[in-house]
Amino acid sequence: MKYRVVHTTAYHYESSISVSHNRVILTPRNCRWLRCLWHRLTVHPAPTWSIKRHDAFGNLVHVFGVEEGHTELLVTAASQVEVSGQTLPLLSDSPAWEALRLTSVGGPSKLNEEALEVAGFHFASPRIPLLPVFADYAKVSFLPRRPVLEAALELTQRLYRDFKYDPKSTHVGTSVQEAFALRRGVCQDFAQIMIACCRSLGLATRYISGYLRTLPPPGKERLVGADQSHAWVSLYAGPEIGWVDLDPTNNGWCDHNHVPIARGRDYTDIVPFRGVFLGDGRNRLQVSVDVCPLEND
Amino acid sequence: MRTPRNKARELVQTRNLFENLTVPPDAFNEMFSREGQVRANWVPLQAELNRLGSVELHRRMQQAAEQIANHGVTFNPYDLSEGASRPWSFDAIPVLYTADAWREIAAGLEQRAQLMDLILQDLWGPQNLLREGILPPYFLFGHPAYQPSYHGLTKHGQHQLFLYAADLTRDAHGKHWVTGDRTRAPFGLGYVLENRLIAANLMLDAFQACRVQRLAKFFQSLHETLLSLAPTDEPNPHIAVWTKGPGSRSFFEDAYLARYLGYTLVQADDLAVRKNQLLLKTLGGLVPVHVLWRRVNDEHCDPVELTSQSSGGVAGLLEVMRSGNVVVINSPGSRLVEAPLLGVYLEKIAHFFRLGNLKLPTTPTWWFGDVPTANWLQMRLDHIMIRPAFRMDNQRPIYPAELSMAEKQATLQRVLANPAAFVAQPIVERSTTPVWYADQVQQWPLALRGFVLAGRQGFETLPGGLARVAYRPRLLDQSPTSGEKSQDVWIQGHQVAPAPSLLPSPTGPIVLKRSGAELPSRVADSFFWLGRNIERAEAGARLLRVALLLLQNEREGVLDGSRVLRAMAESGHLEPDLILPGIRETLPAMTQSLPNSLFESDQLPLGFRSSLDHVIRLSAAVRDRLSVDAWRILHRLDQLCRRPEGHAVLDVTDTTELLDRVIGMMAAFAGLVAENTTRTLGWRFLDIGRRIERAMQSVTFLDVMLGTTATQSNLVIESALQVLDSLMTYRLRYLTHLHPTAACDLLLHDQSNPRSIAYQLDLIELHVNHLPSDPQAVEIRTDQRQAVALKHAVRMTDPEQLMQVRGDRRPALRKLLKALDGQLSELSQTISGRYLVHAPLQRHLGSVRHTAGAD
Repeated sequence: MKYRVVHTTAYHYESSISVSHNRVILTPRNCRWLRCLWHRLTVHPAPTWSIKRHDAFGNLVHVFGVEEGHTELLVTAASQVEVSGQTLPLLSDSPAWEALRLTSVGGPSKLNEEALEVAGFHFASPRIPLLPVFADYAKVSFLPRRPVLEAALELTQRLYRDFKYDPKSTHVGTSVQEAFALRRGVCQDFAQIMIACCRSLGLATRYISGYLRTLPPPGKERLVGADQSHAWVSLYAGPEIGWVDLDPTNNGWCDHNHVPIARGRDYTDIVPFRGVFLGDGRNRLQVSVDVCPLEND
Repeated sequence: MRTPRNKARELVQTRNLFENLTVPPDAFNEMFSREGQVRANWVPLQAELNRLGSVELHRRMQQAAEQIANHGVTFNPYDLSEGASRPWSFDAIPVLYTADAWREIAAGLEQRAQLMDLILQDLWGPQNLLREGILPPYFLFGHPAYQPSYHGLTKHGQHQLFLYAADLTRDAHGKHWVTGDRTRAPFGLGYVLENRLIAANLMLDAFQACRVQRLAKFFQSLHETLLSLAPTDEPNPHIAVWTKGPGSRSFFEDAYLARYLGYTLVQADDLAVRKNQLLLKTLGGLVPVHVLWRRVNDEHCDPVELTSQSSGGVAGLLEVMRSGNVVVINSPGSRLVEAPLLGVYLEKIAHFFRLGNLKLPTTPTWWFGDVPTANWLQMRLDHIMIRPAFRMDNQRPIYPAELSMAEKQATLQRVLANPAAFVAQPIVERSTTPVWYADQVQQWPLALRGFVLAGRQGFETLPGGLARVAYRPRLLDQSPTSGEKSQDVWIQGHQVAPAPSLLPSPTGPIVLKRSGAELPSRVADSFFWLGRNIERAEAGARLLRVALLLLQNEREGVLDGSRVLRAMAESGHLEPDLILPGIRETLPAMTQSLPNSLFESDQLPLGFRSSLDHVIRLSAAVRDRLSVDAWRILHRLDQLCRRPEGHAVLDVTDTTELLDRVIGMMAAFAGLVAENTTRTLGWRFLDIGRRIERAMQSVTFLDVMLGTTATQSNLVIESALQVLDSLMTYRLRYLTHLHPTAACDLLLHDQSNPRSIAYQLDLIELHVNHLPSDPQAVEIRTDQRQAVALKHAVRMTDPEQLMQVRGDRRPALRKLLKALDGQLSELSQTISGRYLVHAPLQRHLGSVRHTAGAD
């Protein structure tokens, strides 16, 4: 499946801003089931300077400064990607989940490249504390010796069932504990709650940001710009299987409708657009995402 | 006059200070051997102390206390919230180490510094310690202060740790152990310098007899190292010390070090990133900073990249570091190796890096995160102290042995709920050392902090350190800065000759500098308001002095002083309520409340004490740019105007006497500023502030005093001349003939009278003309135009006409004064807007969240 993705972010300021300093993570990242064919990031007004580099997780980061007066900042990330969707093994063949825990919080043992990368996703992170409540919730699915993928899928389904999608109930700063207590939230909350559950059991879990292609209702035209930036969970299932992606907001495995951008421990590591500006007043934000299937596919 | 401190105490002269000293047998003693013999290297010090005797020591300690108070050493670990200026307690007796003993300690410190640097380079680089299983991943990724942005900030092989400190203790066998590593911005170097200055002065003879090694070379090396970090083609590298600000605990030290080394003291607001370069905002524009010595926390360095609650910091700093455009020491992320958990693995890491056995080991450390260890520790709770595995703030250790059974159980439960977050160590053993306390020698437990520089020529240990002593050893364990007193550390024996400097020779060419345009805007702002507030305080003091005099006469039923009181109320130096009902009724209240206004600020935000509070706060903010003498005067002024303990109310005579001293000290400060301050922009802003304020005060005052005619005209004119310090000049010119027109001429128009309004306006115009302009602009600036208009407004009027009376009023004078008042405010605003507050707020963009819903 090939898509053209256009993600525009526009900040409108009430009064002129003399300097803004920004860091964006908006470039789709290659993985086993996605290839980024091309990508272009345009900024208006033209940045005074800019730098492109990879962060500690290997995501492509653009850093730029706009150092002349502006009342609006427009960033467009356009890419063309090819998504195959993930191939999954027989769930019952996956290893027992206990085998994937870091032994005694990582009593020293040698680590290869992959193990070292995985090790960074076992622990609490700025947004995600590890607490007994999360472990208790997860344990209903993570029964002793159960194959990890079976348990993980069931946890995903339970989250989908027990929690209500409700954009009004939470905001960007809502903590995982709060959202968990509310049993409500958006994809960011769903993903971070699931990560908290898995990590509280000792499993390595990542936060994935990306896009979700939305299908128009039968008989209706596709609405341009109506797609959304999305977030889900990636769980480490051992060296044989590697990372598998689950979408608790949508009740199951990620498929060819998911376009991943970046990975991190939680939202804070891969905030799509982060900036500081000098000046007075408020800013208004407009975001539109368009995931368009390409005809010739 | 009022301080009970000077009351002579009955002192018993003791000549053998050490005679009745009991040395605790279960601890190592720094001065005495187990047999009670004085260690050879302490003999000269002991002899000198005995020669001085208790009376002389007492006297010298008082001198030292005054010196410290003057220097404004405001450090007091028990007083963090208040941040009040309470002098930190200095001890007369130093701790002594022989050259040989110190060489061993130094070798151990340098090995640790190297080790810590290697660990940091590895953890934020290739991570071989994790790959090889030397350190558990939890150590890095589980650290609450871990931030992915710290990865790859410095080039491969570059030092991350330039300044390192270790806290040492000594067990009963005399062996040294490390109780803590400090790798962010180690605290204490400024206090080491301060201690040395005082101790060497206090006991000069002993200092020489002990052949104490000098500290200067270490700071010279530090300076050379920082210089060497700047780009090589930069003729005048700019080094800045980044302080959290005057409210912070380390501000004294930040300012002290910046001044000692000649660096610019900056706060986050002074810095900006443009085109991926670090710049300092100055009146003359933005100038590059090449080396930044940060004294703020790692996570507060950059709001764009680091997740922290505060929006402080310098946006984009980490990116500037990655591009190699600035060197920040110590690198952000260096705090990770302060974690007590590292103690479990340090010996193994030293071998991994082929540094051999640790010469100075960490006190044994056990991790609750390791299950067998945790079980074993539960059996030994009474013999250990429990600390957090990661050091975030200064959390105090827990001593289970000192807890009740219930508390002990609760603690254990808390630890076992999250065992990986805790470590245990044996309860610290400390050596004891002589301390001068309550006019006798006592033996107190000791904690020593040593400092290491990763310099251009290898690692270098400061020949000295910060010694903390406390009556109870626990006080020293609470935090790395706790304790009751601090001692100087004397390393005896000659220093190795310093290696010849490899820096560009001092005889080579240098770019001469004279301008002061690189003054940070924030500093200029502080100077301006310092000028305004010191003048306001002085005006308040002068008004009060005359008012008290009049009140005294009032009691004798002679004269009417109400006009001066009204002037005080008009300019915010007196509560308006007090003068409303008429002076007779409020006289008793007045006699009480007037002296109090010297000490109390709550009722009068523009009154004397409030202004003085501002002066102290603002002078602290520009402390690195005020001469030591000027700072000392302000500090003493502040002390003088604090309510003496045990005196509820000052009487009028006491107050008048106090005011004479206050006004004298303000004159001394003004004199120092006039004579000992380079004519930089800082000085100009101070003086503009002062002139504007003086003109405004005089305008308000003259309006009350001369705006209407008075029945007792002579008295009013005399008081006016007195308050404006022009009575003597007047008498020389007109003898005893008090005429309003002559007074008006002298106080308003006379450009030769430094107290007249015309004189202030002349100076304001002169200063304003020297402020930096946009080089491209041709027209004169608004502030210049306003200054000229002010000057002309006064010059174009005639005293005779101004003094014309209609009814009981002088309408021409009042109109002029009203206009001047408005114009002065406008000028003040223009100057503020143009030069001073051009640091608008830094804000975060609203965040986009991931919001997608169900299909």
